[in-house]
Amino acid sequence: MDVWSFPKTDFISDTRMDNILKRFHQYGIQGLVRENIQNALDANRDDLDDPVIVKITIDKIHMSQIPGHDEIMNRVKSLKKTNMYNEEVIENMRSFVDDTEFNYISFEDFNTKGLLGGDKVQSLSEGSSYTAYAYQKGVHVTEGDQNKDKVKGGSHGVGKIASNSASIFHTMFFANCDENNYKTLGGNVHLIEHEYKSFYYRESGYFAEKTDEGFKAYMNTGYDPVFSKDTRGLKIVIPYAKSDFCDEDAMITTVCDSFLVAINNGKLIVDVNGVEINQENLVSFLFDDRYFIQDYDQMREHMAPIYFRTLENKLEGYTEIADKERYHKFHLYFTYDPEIVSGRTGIFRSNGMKIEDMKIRGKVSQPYNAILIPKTPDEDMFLKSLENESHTKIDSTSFTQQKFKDNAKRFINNLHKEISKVIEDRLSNETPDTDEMNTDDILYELENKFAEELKDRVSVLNISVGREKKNVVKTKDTKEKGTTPRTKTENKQRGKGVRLVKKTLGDEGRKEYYQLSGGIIKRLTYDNTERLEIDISSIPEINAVENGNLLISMIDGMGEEHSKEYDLREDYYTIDDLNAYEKLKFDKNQISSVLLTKGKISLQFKMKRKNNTSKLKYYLEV
Amino acid sequence: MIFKKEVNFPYPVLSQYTTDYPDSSFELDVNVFDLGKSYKFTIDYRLNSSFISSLLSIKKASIVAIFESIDSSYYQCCDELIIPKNRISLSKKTQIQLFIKTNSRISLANNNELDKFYDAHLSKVFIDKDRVLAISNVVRFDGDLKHPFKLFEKEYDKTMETDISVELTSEMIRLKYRNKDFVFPQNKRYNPLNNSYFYLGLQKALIRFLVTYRDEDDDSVNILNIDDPSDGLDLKLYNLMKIKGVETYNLESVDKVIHSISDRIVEKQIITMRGFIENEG
Repeated sequence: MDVWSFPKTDFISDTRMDNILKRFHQYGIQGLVRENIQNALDANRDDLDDPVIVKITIDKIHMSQIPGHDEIMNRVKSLKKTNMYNEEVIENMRSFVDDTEFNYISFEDFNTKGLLGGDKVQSLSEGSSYTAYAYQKGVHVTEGDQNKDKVKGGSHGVGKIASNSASIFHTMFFANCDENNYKTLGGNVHLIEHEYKSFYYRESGYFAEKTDEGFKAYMNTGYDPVFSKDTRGLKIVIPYAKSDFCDEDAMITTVCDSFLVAINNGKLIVDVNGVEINQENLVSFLFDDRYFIQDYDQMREHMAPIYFRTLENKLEGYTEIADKERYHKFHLYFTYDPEIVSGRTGIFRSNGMKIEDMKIRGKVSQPYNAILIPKTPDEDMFLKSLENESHTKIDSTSFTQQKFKDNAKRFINNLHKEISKVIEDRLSNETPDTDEMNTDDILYELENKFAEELKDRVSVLNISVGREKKNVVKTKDTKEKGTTPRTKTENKQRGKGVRLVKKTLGDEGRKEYYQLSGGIIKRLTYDNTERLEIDISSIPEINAVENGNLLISMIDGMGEEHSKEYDLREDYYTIDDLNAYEKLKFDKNQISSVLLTKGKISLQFKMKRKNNTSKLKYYLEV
Repeated sequence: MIFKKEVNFPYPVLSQYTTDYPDSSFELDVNVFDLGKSYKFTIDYRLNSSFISSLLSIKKASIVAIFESIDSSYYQCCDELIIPKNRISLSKKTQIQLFIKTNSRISLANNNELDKFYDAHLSKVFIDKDRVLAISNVVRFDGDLKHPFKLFEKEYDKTMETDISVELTSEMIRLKYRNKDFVFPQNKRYNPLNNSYFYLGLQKALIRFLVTYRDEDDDSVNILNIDDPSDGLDLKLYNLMKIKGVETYNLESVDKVIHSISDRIVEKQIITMRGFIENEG
């Protein structure tokens, strides 16, 4: 009886290897470590105060110790090289098929929950964290606690593949021990669609028992100790591990670099082949050149030693960064050090995992180092939604809807702006002018002129804002100076005029219209009647016009303009032209062929409802 | 919602964007004081309309203040408002506006401050409860500017590769020179010789402004249509352009804008240079 189940298929349609596997191979050890340790951190137990422990083992394993080894090899041998996409990978797999000894990497976590639902029979469509982990590639299952869920790392759901892509045969096992001490062993392998023993099979195989209702996980008994998980939690075993992933020192470097904050805060302890990294001894790894380049000039990635120093500085405070809708608050740590050659801002999640060493535009070589950590679970969730699939960068790629993409871009732009400001601010405090010339004292005649002009509109109040005294700048948008009562002629100048604009107001795309300003329009309603008068007689550009179309937009409670949605026929029965004593034709948001007599439009509307208070904006098409 | 766009109500409203009340005005000035854990805003308004003032005195209308910062808040108005610092952040843009709303249905029959357009049917016009009667100007606070009136700053850097470089920081136009000698002495006699640097700085800043704020399908920017910029340098340029009446510009007309907002800087430079040449010769 085969231990690996591959779903059958009627015919082979797709023999391309999943691109995700290739991509994750490129993310290397960093992708693998981040995915697995993040999962462990997310599964931490709320009832324990102890840190999450992850034990990483890199060792050798004999083929006889691997469950279903022969089945996998047979399947691999039956894969056909049909196109350039899979040629190289299959070629590589084939070259190892006859080996007897392989590398393996395992990640075992402690003080964690393990996966839920391992004891049930799962059809592929049911959701539990077990199913999602075992059988589905792109699913993320929520687990009840809203706040906690906001802080959990994985969101794309594809990260699980990180483990498969570290294996030559794309195989991984996971041994689960849940709260009831129920121990199961599962696994999955991702090949390509293939023919085997006269049947066609799908590309993914599962280490589980296939029953009529679905898949049932095997009990974890009788397997090699490498696969055993005796305490509550999860253990990932990656057999046939690719050799470039089996580097102990690189593993330690990545762990320290990606989870600096988590380890430093005592939330995580990691053991790599017996070498334990914890809150107390973290420093010894960071400043050991076996794991980290110490020379600032050469440090380009793995900048944990610098980040560590930044963390040791007192907390700087908060910074707020806006997207299109709201402000997001972050803790900000900052350090200035003239020795630093590559200025970076580390974006960390609240679980202590680093997402990106962000290069701030225009400040890439500035002598600073900063760390940003979300303040609340809301911010954390927002940040998580911006992460790319391998948790190595924030960008707008995870969104398909333009609205969210634009919002993400706005946030990221503002992030660059805000951190830039902080950098400029702190740097200018630190570096006194090497040149004694202090620009504040210099009299620029030109500058004085600007200042004079601006002072008409702008004034400065000195009050304290935050911890330092800041200038609060006040701007008033009154159109005229002073508050003396105005004369009639001065008033007539106020708010007058038209502006030629190009807009899409109707069905015919962008056209030119004269946008009419409030000062030349008068509206009045009484009973069921509305009167409208527009006076362009004193505007030289268009006062000779005799005839035109009037287009109308509605302004809603938020100040947004709606033109296409506005329909005159819903509000009015008839519209009369009082200049011509004629009924006017009107359709959707346009009134056609309105007459102008001596530069004035005069209309009378019969309203359908008495309490019509729509706020409108008017355009003239000549 | 802060009312800024030119919007027409179906009845007369007192505001600086309409001429429904030709001789009346409603102006707002606000000052702010730091009380430690909160801010005190003194609301100083001048309502020049006896019709609306009388409605206020018999409580048929009341004044509401809108504070728009991170979100919008409405307050019944008075002389001063004390708002805790966790509700308002002056280091970001905060806008304040007053509006007067009706407390009950009112008749405009006794309103003799209106434009004559309204005369004919005034006795039949009623304004319902909770409608806007008047809107004041907007007062805006930005706590972020370190140099609210300065546009330029100067820096020397011996290690620069080029002789001069124009940088745009979050608040200023920074002129960097490799050598102190590249800058002419800052006194009345020699300073205009530096004007070409200012011209370059303004050009770069205005082009960046254009690129940032222009309409999507357009190659020009419309100053009257955009919201107040939150970037410090852009805000100063915006204010200057508004004061000088610049409404729109594109790449071709940047020079015109510089000409409008500055005071003949090219001409003055040339006059100064000529002066020296003639003296030498």
